[in-house]
Amino acid sequence: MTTHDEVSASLGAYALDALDPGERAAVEAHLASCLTCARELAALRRVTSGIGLAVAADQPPASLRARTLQRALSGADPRPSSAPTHTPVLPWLLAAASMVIAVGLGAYAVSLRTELVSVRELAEVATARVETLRAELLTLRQNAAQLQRAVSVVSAPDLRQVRVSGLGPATGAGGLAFWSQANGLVFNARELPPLEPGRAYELWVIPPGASPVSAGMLAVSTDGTASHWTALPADLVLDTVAVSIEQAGGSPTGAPEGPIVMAGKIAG
Amino acid sequence: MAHRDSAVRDAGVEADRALLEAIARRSTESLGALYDRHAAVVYGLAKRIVRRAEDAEEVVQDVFAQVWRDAPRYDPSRASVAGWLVMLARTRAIDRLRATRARPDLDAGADERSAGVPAHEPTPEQQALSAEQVRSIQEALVTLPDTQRALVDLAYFEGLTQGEIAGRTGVPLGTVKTRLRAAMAALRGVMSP
Repeated sequence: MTTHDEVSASLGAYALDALDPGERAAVEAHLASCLTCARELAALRRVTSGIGLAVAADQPPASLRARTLQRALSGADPRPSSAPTHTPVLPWLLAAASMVIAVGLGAYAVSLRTELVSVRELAEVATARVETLRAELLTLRQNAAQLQRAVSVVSAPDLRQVRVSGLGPATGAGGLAFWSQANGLVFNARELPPLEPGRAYELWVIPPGASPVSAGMLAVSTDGTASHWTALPADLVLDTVAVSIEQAGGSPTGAPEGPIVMAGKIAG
Repeated sequence: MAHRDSAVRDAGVEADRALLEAIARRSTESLGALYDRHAAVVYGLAKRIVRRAEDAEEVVQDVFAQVWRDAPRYDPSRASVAGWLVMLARTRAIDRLRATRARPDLDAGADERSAGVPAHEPTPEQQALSAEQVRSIQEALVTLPDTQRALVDLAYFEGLTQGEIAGRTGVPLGTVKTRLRAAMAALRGVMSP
């Protein structure tokens, strides 16, 4: 199979990985220099991707998550990658290995180099583990502090609730604010639409008859939820909570400049 | 509706790319987040291919181990994350299927593939598919003539070559090729260019 028409006719099977090795090699040789076939193949790959995505998703057992992450981090993988890695190398180990080989100790040098390579791999795994543990510890510490602040708000005797509804572009969003004059404000929102780059959601508290006061920028997760705590001046009394879209980093004027997309008043 | 569909897709694509960049920088949290976003798709496809839940669980682990390993080399501007995961899931599932399957009816072409040679790993598609495009493919698959869809199933979900399909079904090789070509052309036709 060498002609363009023959290759073109077999691109569908190639995308399905249904060609035998001989035909596959011929297609790949042709693809290297035929833009038409390359474009057609790209379209057929979208089809095979669609076939895979069209299969119903199925939630695996909850225990699989930990097992999967553990296996990935342990570095064990029965199918080695073909491309060279560029994970950091301990230079002194490789220099030492080259020196030993240069001295020409023959078989001993070869076995030593092999040992040094596996030591290098172990060191890389260990370094990666330390980094991930550090990151996990930091996250746990942050989560614990955040939880403590939220608990102090929602268990306060002067707790007030504010139901906050989405408006305009955020009509589907919803939120709940918990305010304790002594302990601050907790705000939880869901179904916040993603924003274009350079824009962010800013939270406002509004005392009755007065100007809005910024309560900070919301950090929105990829699933559209946000959870926020802020301290507030102990003498601040609010009756309205609102969210607006501002430039990243917040409104430069200290007042909402962008559209208000969520608002709610204290009940009663 | 289409605008919201593409806005949702683009937000998902951005999230996936950010996660993969963080994974390349060795963030285990981001690997967990990628798992939370896509494990159900990977598991569903794996189970469809290997059938047994235990084997499907192994495939999920294979896929995310490879993501962790290959993330530093992954170029987000060249391929979609969801497409990469689906391709990895299919490839590793077919590997496992061949490894665990007894093959008494080998023909010459099948020898190499069933002898533990891994399935060929093609490049995933460049731009992510929208939910609407996936639905179009789903519908098109259902409306394909049975003779064509059966061959697509054998190729995609069982990892058979055209020669192996001919051997398994008794359909002449030339007919297998014609039908597969027609099926892929029909599916390609429902995708916007």
